[in-house]
This record gives sequence, structure tokens and C-alpha cells, in this order.
Amino acid sequence: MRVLKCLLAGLFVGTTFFLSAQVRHTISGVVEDAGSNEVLFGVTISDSRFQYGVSTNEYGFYSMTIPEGEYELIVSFIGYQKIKKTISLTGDKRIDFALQESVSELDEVVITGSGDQISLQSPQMSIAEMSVQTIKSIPTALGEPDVIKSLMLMPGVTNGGETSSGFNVRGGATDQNLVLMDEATIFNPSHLFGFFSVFNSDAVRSVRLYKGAIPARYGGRLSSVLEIYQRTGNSKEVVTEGGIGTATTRVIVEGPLKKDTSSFLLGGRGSHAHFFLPLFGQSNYAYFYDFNGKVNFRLDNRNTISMSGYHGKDTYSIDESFLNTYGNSFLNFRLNHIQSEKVFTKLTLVYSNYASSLALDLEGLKWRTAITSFTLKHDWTNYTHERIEINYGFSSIYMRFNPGEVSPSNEASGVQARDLTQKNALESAFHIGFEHKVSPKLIMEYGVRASVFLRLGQDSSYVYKNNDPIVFNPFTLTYTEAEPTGISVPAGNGIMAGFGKLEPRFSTTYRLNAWNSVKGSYTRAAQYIHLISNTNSPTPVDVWEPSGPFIRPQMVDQVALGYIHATAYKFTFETEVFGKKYRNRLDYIDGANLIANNAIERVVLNGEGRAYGWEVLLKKSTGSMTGWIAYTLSKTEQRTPGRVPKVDNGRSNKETGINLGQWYHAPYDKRHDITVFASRELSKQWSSSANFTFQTGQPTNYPIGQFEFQGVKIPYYGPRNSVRLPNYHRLDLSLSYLTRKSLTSKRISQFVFGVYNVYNRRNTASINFRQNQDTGVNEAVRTSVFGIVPTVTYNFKF
Amino acid sequence: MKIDPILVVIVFGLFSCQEVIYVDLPEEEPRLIVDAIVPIDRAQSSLYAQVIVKESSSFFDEAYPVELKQISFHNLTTNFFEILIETTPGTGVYEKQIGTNFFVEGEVILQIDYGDQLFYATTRFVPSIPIDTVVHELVTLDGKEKSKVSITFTDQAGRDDFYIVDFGNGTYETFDGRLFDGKTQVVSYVFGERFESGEVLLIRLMGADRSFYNYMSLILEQSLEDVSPFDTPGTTVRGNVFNVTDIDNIDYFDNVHLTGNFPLGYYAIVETSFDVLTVR
Repeated sequence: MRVLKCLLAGLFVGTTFFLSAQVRHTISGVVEDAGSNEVLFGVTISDSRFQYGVSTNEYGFYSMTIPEGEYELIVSFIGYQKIKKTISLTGDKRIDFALQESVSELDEVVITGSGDQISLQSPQMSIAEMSVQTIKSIPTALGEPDVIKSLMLMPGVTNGGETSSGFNVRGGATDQNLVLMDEATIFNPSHLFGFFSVFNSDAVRSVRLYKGAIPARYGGRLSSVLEIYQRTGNSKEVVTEGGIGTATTRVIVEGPLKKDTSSFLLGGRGSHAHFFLPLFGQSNYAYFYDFNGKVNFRLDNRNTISMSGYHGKDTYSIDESFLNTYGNSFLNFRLNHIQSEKVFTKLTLVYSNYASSLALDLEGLKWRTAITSFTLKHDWTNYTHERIEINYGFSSIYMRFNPGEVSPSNEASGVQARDLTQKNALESAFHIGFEHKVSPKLIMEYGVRASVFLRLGQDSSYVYKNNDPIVFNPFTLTYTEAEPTGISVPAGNGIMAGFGKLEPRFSTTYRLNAWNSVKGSYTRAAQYIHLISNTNSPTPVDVWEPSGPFIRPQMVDQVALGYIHATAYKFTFETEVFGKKYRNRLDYIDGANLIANNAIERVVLNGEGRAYGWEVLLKKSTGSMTGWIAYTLSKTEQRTPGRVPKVDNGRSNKETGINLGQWYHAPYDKRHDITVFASRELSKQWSSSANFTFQTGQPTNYPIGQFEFQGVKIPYYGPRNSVRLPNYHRLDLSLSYLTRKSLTSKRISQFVFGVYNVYNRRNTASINFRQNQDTGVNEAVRTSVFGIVPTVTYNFKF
Repeated sequence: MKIDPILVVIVFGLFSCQEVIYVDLPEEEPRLIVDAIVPIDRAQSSLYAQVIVKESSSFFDEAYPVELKQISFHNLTTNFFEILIETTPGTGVYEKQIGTNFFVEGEVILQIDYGDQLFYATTRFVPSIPIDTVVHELVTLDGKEKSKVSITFTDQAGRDDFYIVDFGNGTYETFDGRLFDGKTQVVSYVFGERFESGEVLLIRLMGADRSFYNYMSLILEQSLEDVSPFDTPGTTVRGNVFNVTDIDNIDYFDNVHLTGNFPLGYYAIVETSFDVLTVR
């Protein structure tokens, strides 16, 4: 530690030239909600002349070093009453604040942290942040408030359609999002094929999505970081909260274990039994449930321990011949330690597991896969320097990939039990990042992440001729799987492959004047694990594959420029342009079979990708009418050119690559994406919201001809993703009626009436081509998922 | 291995809606289609080898037969040569009775001379195993009585086999025999209807190498029977027949420079066992 401090001290030397000789002291503390003792993230603490200002971190801690003197401190946070406190600063001081909820602003929409004075100053850009109140006010197809579907109303965030799991950020794939719930990685953030996300909105405290300019403390994914914190639980009184909707029921109980020092939170949620059933057979079912739990102990005013856990499961079954289950679980232990007025540390240990299984009775096959990971993270935030906040730390994740156990599903099955080879990897990183107020107008955030990925030894691996797991046929222009020439068994826990990457991160804000700022950022990130999917949208049985001897880590470089203007009339206008380049994006060869495949390296090639975009967000965050208009213009493409020949046989040895090496649209490329959202308080009881979405249709393939082979009729296609489905658009409305005994009463009951897709547009989920069974003539069939859907949800809190 | 249609039934059953729509499709130059599966029964001394050659048209139209200059098999090991004849002109069906041994030993080339283009494919005989039993029964699914056909076969231990089962009427399933090496496997197919008594089904069990297995699995996945938003994206399934017109082995050794001109279809010589099922 001492070495590090010396190193940091050395770094400061170059930046102290502007410091005056004034005596300085540090004020630090924790800001909490007065009603529940829940810590508050993003609270602004500034002096009344706005010379100095900081905001609280995700655990409510702040630290500010300012010259000796008299100050009037203002502590403000949207939705809470402002606190003004006069202090005489003659030495280091610890001041904790408890903010009272401001009742009149309870339902105010809070979209992003940017847009007010702080965001004009913050070096961060490319962030989408949303309050839980906003998420709850957005109409959804099945009446359940949904974190991911809400974020998709922000510029730069889309997904593959109404039935797609996951989400896509600025042309990134769904596996390129780091989804953290209480700092634990969630591998699949969706329930029931994306109808719901895994986050129980009642348990969520804050939601922040980094679309770019990702700080150095995050790593392991290329495109975004979705950081979700669960609430710590009310340590003053027992509160029960929940809702009953068309499709789901959720309930949360929280309260003190010991008043004001420790708390618990327990939550559960489930889809209504056999919700999807009323249709056909008797034995079909589909449901999900999840549980959240958290305990929080404040040991003293410097140390807080918390433990949180999550377990979720999805099940689908049809006619007892098909069964698919999957789910995430995690257990997290964290120690937050205020080392001094100027140093905040947190130590995190996480166990996380994602498992899915598939039983196909017809084929007599059962297949189970899992990823288990253990994470150790230690992070420090150092506020020693008045103008520089330093974040540094290390993390190490051990991951065990179990790509599958195949077993017979019934006695009659001839399937032989076999285990696909387990894969193990260790990903470690050290990061350091500086948030540097260079001058009152110029703020920079810069840092670097040094990551190392070791693919650890496994039971056995295949050996190929010329080290080439895929063979290209230069006559038929097809790629096929190579036959292994042998099996290698590494001795002990040898390392099969290792990668090290330096990931510089930089972002800056220059404040032109009180109302205008310009921003810029550069991010390089490395991702060592890959989700292999060859369906149009990810499914729970998709397989994660670690980098190794044949599969290189994927990399991205992203540059973004932005401009923010805060207008009068409480409007803010933000716009950003971005450009991204991906390397080593895996692409599957035509005809790849990914299920229970013990040698994924034989069906994928390393390709590249690029994405460009322009995002605009006009929003109004305060007042009785709030909302935003978001527009994204973007283009996302990928290609997999032929590999460089390894063997010289005197011929060209060229390869054509996948899709003949041509660039093609990524399946989630949406040229235009427009969202308009508005929420209005009609009276103390009634409020309404409306949401309109328009997106360019998804890229797809249409057949250009057909042929018959052995009595089977097969369409054939042009280049990948060369045409588009029809454009997507819909309007949703909701009206909510809230009753509470008095303005300050904790007892709340609320009815939310929603209509999804008001004008009943048959949006195209897919167009498939088939032969009409009666006429024998080919036809195009459009599948649309949701027509108009009315919903009613009852929410309560007592 | 497919899970897609099932998921669709569950997930989309409540809300989804399917309707036939008009779509303006892109078109391209016609392509040659070669259906050249030679089924081998080693108990027979000869077989009627048949290759169907057509040319594609648009997606909504039927392919039309083509008149070839010549189509032939050539066994490189024995150096025997067989020319096929379009016995009924205008059908695109080229055939000839050929001794079984011609196909069983060595590498056999298929060469097609069409217009000014020359097409070529090569393969070797792939062995298989006999069908043990075929059973027809009625099952009730979704409240309807349907025909279920089950076949039993026993994999040969220690050999990497792949299988293609033809349940008749163009209904196929593909199997990776490595999953049940040396064991007896029951494979069933539930048809969408109930067969009437007296109806006859021709069941075939074909051997396959990995490449043919992959091809067949892929075309079944791409076939026009299933409709699902979880499908793998549509792709052109390229087979093992290719255009050699420009390969002069002086300047051009392969087709990498000629990406667009390729035929569709597959050529394989596979041991095939048959069973005729008469529904009672």
C-alpha cells in the first residue's frame, strides 16, 4: 500500500502548480434518506457560491477538501428537500446528512444524472440513468415495470425486438454488456425470452448505464456497463411493498434488524402460474420466479458490511417432451470501509452462477450447462487531493465454464452420458482512474486498466493439423470443421493460453459557460469471453466460450464527442456522436451446430465490427410535465474476412471469409430510433404517461430462390442481412391512481391502467417463408407478437 | 437438433399472430440444382443410380429441368466410367443401372457438363446399419389423434456414424451416432395427421459422413416447414458440388475468385436400409 501511496503522491506533483498556500480541510460523511436510512447515490454537496462541489458515491459517501473558512453547505438531491447548513471549517470534519423526501416531487421523473448543473460539469458522458419512479411510470406490455425495457427508451439502446433477450448498446452485441447487480455479474438479464428483466423494480435503488466513456474500474465487456444497486433495506421501520399485475406478482419486505444500524430486505416475484397456458394442451407451462435478499450491518460509522443474494429461475415445458430451465444466482459479501476522511474502500466477494438445462424427450437427451464464477475485488477512492479524485483497485475473477453434461432423458434413450470438457479461466485486472478538475471549466477523467486473462488447463483439448480447427474448401467456398489429429492433455493446472491488454480510458468536459458544455471521450476495452449464438436473438441455451488457444479476446475502441445545453424552461439538450471499431468479434460458420458442441473453435472465426451513430436527447426533468424526446441515427456492421494462409503450397491459398468477406448489417442494426416519452401529474391522485417508439426494421434475409433436395424444399438467400423487416412503431399509454392518507403517509396504494400498442399495429417480429400445406405454393408469413394489450397493476406499500 | 418451433408455441401462443403477407423479393440469375444421392444396398448386385438436375427460378416458382451435354460417374480407383441418360426427356432425371461395386470401392467423381459450364463433385461410400424395427402407433397431442412412427436401429460401436432417417413424405431427422455409440436407439416422429389404415410409408435409414449430416441438418433447419422468430438467420446452404469451368490449374487453382457461380445440392453415396410400413 505504501508503495502505491508514494506512486500516487508522485503523480500529484505535476498537478499541484495551481494550488494556493491556503490551509485546507476535509469534510466527509454519508448522506442517507431520513425515512429509511437508505444511502443516497449522486447527492450534490456544494457551497452556496458553487465554488466547490462533490456528489456522493454509490454508497452515499462524499469527501471534499476546501480552504479553511465559513461556508453555507447545500445538500440537494432530486426528490428530496434541500438542506442548508452553515459550518465553520477549522479542521477535518465528518458531517452526515439525512434528507427528507419532498412529497410534492415524489413522482417526478428523473431521467439522467446529466442535464442539470452537475452534468454540465461532470467529465462523464454517454450515461443513461433512470430513477425507479421513472421506470415504474413507463407502460410495458405486461404491466410489470422493467429496467431494461425502460433503458431502451434512451438514445443508443435497443434490442433485437419484442421477444429478444438482453439489449444492445451503440451497436454492441448483447454479450458485450457488463450487467452488475450489487457488483455481481449477471450473465442473462432476461426472464421468459426478454418479456421481463431479472431486476425486481421494488428492490432496485439505482440504475446507471454507461454507453461509452467507461471508467477504468469496469472491465471485461466491450459495449456498456449496466450498474444496478439493490436497496439496503429500511433500518427504521418495517415496510412492505409490492404489486399485482396482469402477469406477475411481486412483494418486498424490509426493516431493521437493529434500529438505525442494521437492516434486511427480502423480495420475491413470480409470473402467475401457467400464465402462458390457457392456449393449447394441458401439460404446457412457462413461468419464472426470483428472490432477492440483502442484509446490511453498520458496524460503526466507518465500517458497513452487507450481504446480498439473488436467485431466479425460468421454466418452460411442453407436453413433457421438452423442458428448458435456466437461471442466475449470486451471493455477495461486501465491506465498505471509510479508511479516513479522504479514503473510501470497498472489498467485495461474489459467487455467481448461471445454469441452463434442456431436456428433449424425443431425442432422449438432457443437456445442462453452467458458468460459475468467484470474484474478489478491492477498490479504493482517494480524495486526498483537492482537485483529483483517484479510483484504484484490483479484481480477480475465476470462471468455470461447464459447456455441458449430456445424459439420457429416459430409460429407453440410447444417449450415452458424457461430459463436455470443463473450461477454466482467471481474469485479473488492476485499474487506476483520475477525475481531475484541471480548472473550473475543464474536467478530465483519465485512467487505465491492465487486464490479464489466463485460460487454465482443462482435462483435454483437441490438436489440429496446422493448428487449424476450421478448414476452408477453396472449391465449394465453404468452411467446415477440421478433424482433430489428436487430443492433448496438459499436465496439472498448466496454462493453455494467456492474454494481457492495456485499456486506456479518457473523457473530458469543457464548460463553455453556465449553460453549455462540450465533452469528448476515448475508451478501449477488452472482453475475454464470448457468447456464441447463431439465432437471430439470443436464447438461454447459448453457450459462453472463454478465449483460448484458438479464440482471441474481443477488443473495442470507441470515440465519442458530445454537447450539452441546459436551456431555460427546465429543458436540457444533449447530443453525442460516436464511432466504434471491434476486433475479434466471433462469427459462426454457416451450418454451425452450437448445442452440446465440445469444440466451438471448429465453428467460429474471428471477425471485426464497426458502429457509428448520432444521438440526440431533449428532456425536461422537473415540473408537473416531464419526459424526453430521444433520437438515434446509427449504423452497425460486421464482417469476417478470410484468414491469412498458414501453409504455403505454392498457390494463393486465399479464403473468401464468412458471407464472402463482405460487410453486413448486424442483426440489431437500427438506422433510426425515435422515442417520445411524457409523464404528467394530473392531480394529487392521478397521473398519466405516454410513450411512442419508432425504429427502422431489423436487418434480415429474404430468400432469392428455392430448390428441392430429396423431397425437401429449401429456400436460398443472398448475402447476410441484406434486406430489412418493415419499420417498427407503437404508442403506449398509462394512467395511474394513487391514494395515500396524507402527504406524509407511508401507506400508498396505486392502480396503474395501461394500454400497450394503442393503435394495435401488427409489428413484424419475423417474416418466414414456407410452403402452403394445402396449395403447395410458397408464401411469406409475418409473425407479430403484441397487438393491443390492456393491463392493470395494483401497487401497494405499507 | 431443433427447439425453436416449440418455444414459439409456448411463448407466442397467447399474443402472437401470424398472417400471410406479400413480400417483394430480390431475384438473381438461375442456379443449377443437383440432387445426387446414391442409395446403396450391399445385398443387391446393382442399383438404379439417379441424379436430378434442374435450374432454379424465383422463390415463388418451381425449378425447371435442364438438358445436360453429359453427366457421368467416374471411379478414380478402378478407373471405370458410367454415363447417365435422361430416360424421359424433359424431366431432368438422369439415370442408369450400375453395379453396386462401382460405388463401394474408392473415390467416385460426379461430373456435369452443362452449356459452357462444368460442374464437379467427389465422394466415397459411407456405410450404415440396418433398421431393426418400425412401429406405428396413435398418440393424442393437443386433443387430436396423430400418427407416431418409431424406428429402432443399433449403432455400430467404435465407428463415428451419422444417420439420416427419412420417415416418408419428405420428413427427415438427422442423428449424431456418437451420442449413442454402439447402442440401440429409438427414433420417433409424430406427424401432424392420423394415417388411414392401409396407407404405406417408405422408411429409409441412410448413413452419412459428418459433412452430409451437416448439410442435411442445415437444409432441414432452413426448409420451408418451420416458421419461427428464433430461427437461425436464413443462409444459402452450399453443398459439395462446385463449378470447375475456370479452374485451369495454371492461373486458377480454386474458386476463390469466382464467388457467385456455384450450384446447389449435394452428392453422396450412402448405404441405405429400407422398410415399408403399412398402417393397420
